[in-house]
Amino acid sequence: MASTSQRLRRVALPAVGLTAALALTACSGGGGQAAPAQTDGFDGVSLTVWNSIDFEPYQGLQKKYFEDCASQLGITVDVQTQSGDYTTKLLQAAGAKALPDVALLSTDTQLPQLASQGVLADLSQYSISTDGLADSVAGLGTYQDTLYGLPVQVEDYAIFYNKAAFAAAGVPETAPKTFDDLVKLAGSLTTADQKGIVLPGIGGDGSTPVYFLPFLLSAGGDPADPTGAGAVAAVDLYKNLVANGSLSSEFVNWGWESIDQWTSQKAALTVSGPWNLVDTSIPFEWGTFPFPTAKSGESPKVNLLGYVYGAAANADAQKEAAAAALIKCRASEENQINTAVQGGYIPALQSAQAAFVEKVPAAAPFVDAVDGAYNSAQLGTEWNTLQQQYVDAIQAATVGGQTAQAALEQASGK
Amino acid sequence: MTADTLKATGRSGAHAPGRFRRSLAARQRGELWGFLAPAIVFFVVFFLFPLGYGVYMSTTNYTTGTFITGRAPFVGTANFEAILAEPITFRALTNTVTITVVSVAVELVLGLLLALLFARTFPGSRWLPTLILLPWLLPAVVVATVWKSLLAGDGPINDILGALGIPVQAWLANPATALPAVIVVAVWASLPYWATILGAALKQVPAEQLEAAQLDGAGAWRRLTAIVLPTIWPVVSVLVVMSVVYTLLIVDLVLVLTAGGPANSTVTLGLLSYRQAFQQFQFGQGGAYGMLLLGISILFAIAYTVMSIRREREE
Repeated sequence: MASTSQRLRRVALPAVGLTAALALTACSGGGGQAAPAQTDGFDGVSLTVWNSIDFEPYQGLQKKYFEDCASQLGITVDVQTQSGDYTTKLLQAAGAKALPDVALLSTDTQLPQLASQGVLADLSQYSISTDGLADSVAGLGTYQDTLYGLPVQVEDYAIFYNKAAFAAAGVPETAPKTFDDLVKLAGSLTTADQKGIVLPGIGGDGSTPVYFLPFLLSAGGDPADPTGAGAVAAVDLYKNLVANGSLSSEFVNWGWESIDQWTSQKAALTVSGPWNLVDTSIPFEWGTFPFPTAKSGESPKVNLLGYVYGAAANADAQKEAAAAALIKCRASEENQINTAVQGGYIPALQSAQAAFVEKVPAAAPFVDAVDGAYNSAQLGTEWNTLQQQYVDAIQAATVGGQTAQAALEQASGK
Repeated sequence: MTADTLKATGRSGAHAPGRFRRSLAARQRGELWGFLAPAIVFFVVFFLFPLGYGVYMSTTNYTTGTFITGRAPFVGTANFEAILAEPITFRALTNTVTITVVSVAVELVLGLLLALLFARTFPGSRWLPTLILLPWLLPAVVVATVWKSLLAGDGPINDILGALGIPVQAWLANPATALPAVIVVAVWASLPYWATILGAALKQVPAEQLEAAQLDGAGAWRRLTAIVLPTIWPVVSVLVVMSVVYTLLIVDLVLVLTAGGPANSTVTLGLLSYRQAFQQFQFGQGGAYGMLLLGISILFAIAYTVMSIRREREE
């Protein structure tokens, strides 16, 4: 059954359709189209924007982008950054029919949870398109084939290495091609004071499955199949790294903070996200590698987390159209490049990705892996269960003495 | 005023004392309820309602969508059947009972020893009991974070053990040692509470009886078992029941120390409730784990009540 807001929108939309359509072309970017500013349709409209990323310069940049766009569109905007449990705040706001007009949403949980309840607007009706985005990125903003969010930035993962550790071990800075190469490389970088590699292995904080998925995917695995050959090969990789002493068995107690082992030079290699690319506090020279694959000659594959801006489904069609226009303006190429360079995200637009790599060459493995990357949101709520299963299997195989196959079978109950 | 009126007033006055008595009783009842009302409101709002809501959640398919739609279809006992079909539930039950029984037993013995120590007079016997309260004042998350660092493979505890020639290992990373390590931390966090309460209870032990027993030739062990323990037993039994219920609900310590790992070796029922609700977003199953814990706690409370009644009858 259509919600009241949806019904109201169908009635009200034609009345404001023309002005909204004109105004939507006010800003360049998003879909890649550029058009002269048109503010007539939204004069006097007041919107609220929610962001969840509460560090600087990201927070200040978003405020500036939205205020600049609002000024161009003749909109009054209140940009707020929500700290704490953002997902719960969104759900509570949706339950109270008080969603902000525009909200930054993660594509793994927040977008599908809100879209499935019919509280987000279909952005495609406002001539917002996904032109200029890789298919893998465009898919992040959709739920059941409807565009509910325009991706502005994504996160994927790569291997980071300490150049001094390679020099000290006399190892060339060459990316390992296969899992066996990685085990050998990590082994040769291991010393009495330094492990070859550090990875998270704890349950609960989401770090372990996020960094494990690139290995599973690069082994040709399907995340939905926890006992498949790819999953077994990836768990086996962890087991071999612990067995040859290059990964501390204590990794089962470490989550996101495992990166501290790398930055404090207690490990030579690690896996991390694009935020590391702009971290100026790392006290040594470093480089990045793409992920290895299970067998030589195959292509690595990573999982992709996106951040999109969605608009609340609104009975006031003019407000909803204004929110869509604001999102489109915010998603401009220039804004995406600035956010990437200053905030450490991979831009959603391919043109912005190229510019980002020019400015930050170490971002190349991240950008190269975006096309064809895997969106774990397609697993739906099943991913919540699978995450714990992969953590259980990794721990049972590495410190519990089980084989990778047996650990995965036991964890998944198969 | 006419005579009739006076008569009427008199008749009326004749009934007045009865009505006054009733109205006094009613007023007393009113005052009683007036004084009780805040407590009843508090009990209903902060105890009965959350408890009832927990029972309701455990019988519904309560998910994130429920926040928005308000709809949580009734599923009867399906959530309970689902959690009881999971092998991990029984592992969590075993771990929860192990942590509870071992830590409460150790806390009782060590707490009593500490209380007996502080009952003596020695340099520092005045301020030491206050000092050892500090661990109990720390939030569990802080306690767990500090101990996670202490128990790390390259942590201070291993440095000391290594210097003493004792074999060291990553205590929280080994499935065989992670659960004992969690129990050690739980005991450390609760021991000050036991020592303080038992110390206060020891002050109620009649000094004359102890002196008389000593004059009669009773040794320290005999005085402890025949005089001290029977005197402080009511306090001990209340402490045991409270600690059992408190320890059964253990979540925060385990969550920070191991998150239930490695290989689910430290998973508890409280942790599974947290996982289902806030990681899997299956609030119904999270509520079912909560009800399971409530049932176990009630069993302990019933056992305590029965023991207390028997004891009172014997006395």
